[in-house]
Amino acid sequence: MSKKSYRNAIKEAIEFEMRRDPTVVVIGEDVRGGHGAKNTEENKLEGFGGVLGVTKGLWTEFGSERVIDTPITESAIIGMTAGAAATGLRPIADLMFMDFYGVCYDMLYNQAAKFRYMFGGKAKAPMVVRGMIGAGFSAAAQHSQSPYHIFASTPGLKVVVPSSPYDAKGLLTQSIRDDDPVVFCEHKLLYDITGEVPDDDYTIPFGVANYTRQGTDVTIIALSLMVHRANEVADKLANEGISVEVVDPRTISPLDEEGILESVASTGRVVIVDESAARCGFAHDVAALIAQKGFYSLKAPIELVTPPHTPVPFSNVLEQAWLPSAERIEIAVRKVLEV
Amino acid sequence: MSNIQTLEVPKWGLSMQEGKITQWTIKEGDSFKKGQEICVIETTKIANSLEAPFDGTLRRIIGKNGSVLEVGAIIGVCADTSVSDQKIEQFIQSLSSNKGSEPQEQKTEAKATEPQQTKSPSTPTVTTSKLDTPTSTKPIVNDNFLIPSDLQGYQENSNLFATPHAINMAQKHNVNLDKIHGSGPQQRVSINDIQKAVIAAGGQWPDVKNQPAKTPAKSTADDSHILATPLARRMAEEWNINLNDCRASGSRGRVCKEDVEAVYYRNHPVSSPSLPAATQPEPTKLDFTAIPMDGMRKTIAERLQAAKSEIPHFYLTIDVDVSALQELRTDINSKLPSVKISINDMFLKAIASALIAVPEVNVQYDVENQQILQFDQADISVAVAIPNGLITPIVKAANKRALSDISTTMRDLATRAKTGKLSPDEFQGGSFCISNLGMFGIKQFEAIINPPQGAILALGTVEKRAVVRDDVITIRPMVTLSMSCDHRVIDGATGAKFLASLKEFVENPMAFLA
Repeated sequence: MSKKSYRNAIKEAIEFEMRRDPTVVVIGEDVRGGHGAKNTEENKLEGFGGVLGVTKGLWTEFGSERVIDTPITESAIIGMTAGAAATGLRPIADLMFMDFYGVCYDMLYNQAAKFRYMFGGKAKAPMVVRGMIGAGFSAAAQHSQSPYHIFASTPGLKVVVPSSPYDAKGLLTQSIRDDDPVVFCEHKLLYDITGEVPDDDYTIPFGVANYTRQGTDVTIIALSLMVHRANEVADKLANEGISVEVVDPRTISPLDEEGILESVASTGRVVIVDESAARCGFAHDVAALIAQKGFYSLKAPIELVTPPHTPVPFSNVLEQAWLPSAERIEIAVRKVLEV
Repeated sequence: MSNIQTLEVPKWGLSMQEGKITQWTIKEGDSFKKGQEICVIETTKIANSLEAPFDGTLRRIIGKNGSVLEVGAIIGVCADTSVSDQKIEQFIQSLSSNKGSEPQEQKTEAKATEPQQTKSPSTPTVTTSKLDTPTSTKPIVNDNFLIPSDLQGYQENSNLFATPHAINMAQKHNVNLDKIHGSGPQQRVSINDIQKAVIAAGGQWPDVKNQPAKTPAKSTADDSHILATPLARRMAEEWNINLNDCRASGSRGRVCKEDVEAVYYRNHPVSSPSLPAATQPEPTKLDFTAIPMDGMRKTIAERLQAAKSEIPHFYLTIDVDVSALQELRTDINSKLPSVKISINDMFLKAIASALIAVPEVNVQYDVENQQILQFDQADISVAVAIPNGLITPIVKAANKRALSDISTTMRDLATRAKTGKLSPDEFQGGSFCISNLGMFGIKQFEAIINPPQGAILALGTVEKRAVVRDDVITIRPMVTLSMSCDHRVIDGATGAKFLASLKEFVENPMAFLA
């Protein structure tokens, strides 16, 4: 066990699985080197390893057969990944920005997600699509979205949204070993956070929520970056004697309904924080779940904290106002507590 | 050495699956005699008193008032006062642990493996158990949580995979998580899993998650900024209602008078539907009483709704001259002081004879097997009004009975029907049905068929009417009979043939006496 960054936790999971299983391959833009490094078989330079350096060093260890650079064509990346998965490999595609799924959506939601079902279980698509989500980077409207709720609405896709280095490694390992297509959403602002991560390989099962804070007065349900903001609020309110429970579902498909409902049953007050969308998003899905199955536990209306229904602004000031902030979460908590 | 006996939910009739304990008439600690009524149990068909099957003392009530239990479930534990409370507890616990040891067994088998010999097959059954060796720990009863002994023992260092709340609950109620099967991802144990295991082992674990909140939340926040009509604000102040708790259904999103009233009613549900006095506007008073439907009312509603909407009814009406019937009745009643025959009894006999003469009407419709069951004898159901509904006791084989027999049988059935003492086989079945509202002066009416029977005959009052006999208008005592037939099994001509035959028997009663 040692402190590792979110970035390194992801890298470790890929490395370990590639060593463990020769069918695991990495496919993406600049995954070998990047930043203009001239990497050839003859001239092996250790390049940057993708835009974020997550795949740094993989090419030198595993070679061009298993670390495959692609042209700037998302449909080719995911098409190739789905085909490789259907024919026996366990590919990990690096889509860079999840915002780009629009270009290759057919490969993912209409092909890979449906293989196992439509071929009566004869084919499967054991693939992972990694990509960045989230605002806060001044990356403007086309590179700042968190579209995990769209994947989660497609049956056949599993959707993982880890919030900590520990979760990232364990869940990515599980994703690679899983026989279904998994969309793995990494938040841009989390790559440099650090946390305790075991040095060995381990898995975290899908559909198991993590309680990052345990409390008795109110439940905050949050994902990814929002878990950290919820924790911040929980710690602040603890000084006032308000006991906040923070539930991080970690995977939204499958969703740990029981883990959420048990917390709701014990506190009776709920705030759901979600960066995905102001409408038809993850928060709305969970709110519906609670209204349907946990209604009688509720002591106050469910409160949602989401961005407004607008594209993500480029201006840093506006972008910060757009993102659900700790202040807005705190206001929502006080509202459901009626204090 | 002690004798502990149990009381169980009896089986009254073939179709009885479960019974609702509506009222215990004795308390824990009371002694009772064999045959004494000890509690009232309601089924979907009847409410009846359970008579004590033996002399004894009730020590523990297990089936609380209002609980619905399956047939054979134990509702009470009895033992004389020499048996200690501890022994009783041990006994109750042994019942639950017996059940828990074979959770995969079917309910009926679990019952059979429960204590030893059954004294008699008749209801209610009595089981006797002799306790010599004291069993281990007491079950833990705490706020309606009852953890059977074999699931007890929370272990701090268990490496078991469980949800945080499941672990908290296990710790609070001392549950050994190692003995619980987890149904979640990777066998994760949830609170639901604990609840299932505890209940399967005979314990109690209340379903707290899905209980409606008893008291609605009351806001204490400042409501001065809430938009409300002046009247609504004044009413809210008067009744100490926070406007935050009200819906805003008024114009322009304001809280209006009705919204405040709704909160008042929500906070004062049972006491009285009327609002407190001294309010400016006269609050509308509800001018009805809500009467909850009991089991019988619900059954009547359900069955008749189904009958009227599913059966293609058609109706045949005929007038019959009852002068001969009346003469015969007076004759018999005056000459035989021990018998007191009514016109209804005589109609019963005439109908029975007509049913034998035209057996196509003496039928039941067997929907399932698509066949018509035609009966050899006339089992006539007679609708009898009882305090909160009606019941149809059956005069069996009415065609074979003497008039005096029909009379006494009918009187006995009606008396017992009114006190709820009929046994199920006395009101279930029947090949034909009659309903008589003549005593209320009803001239004529059409009844709803009581399936699976094929027809029902509605009898009107006896009244003197001007009728034409041999082209002369004379006064005769007449009765109008209306038959409702199920056209799926009885055709118009068949029904008409039956009524013609019945008219013949009524107007010439010697025919059915012969």
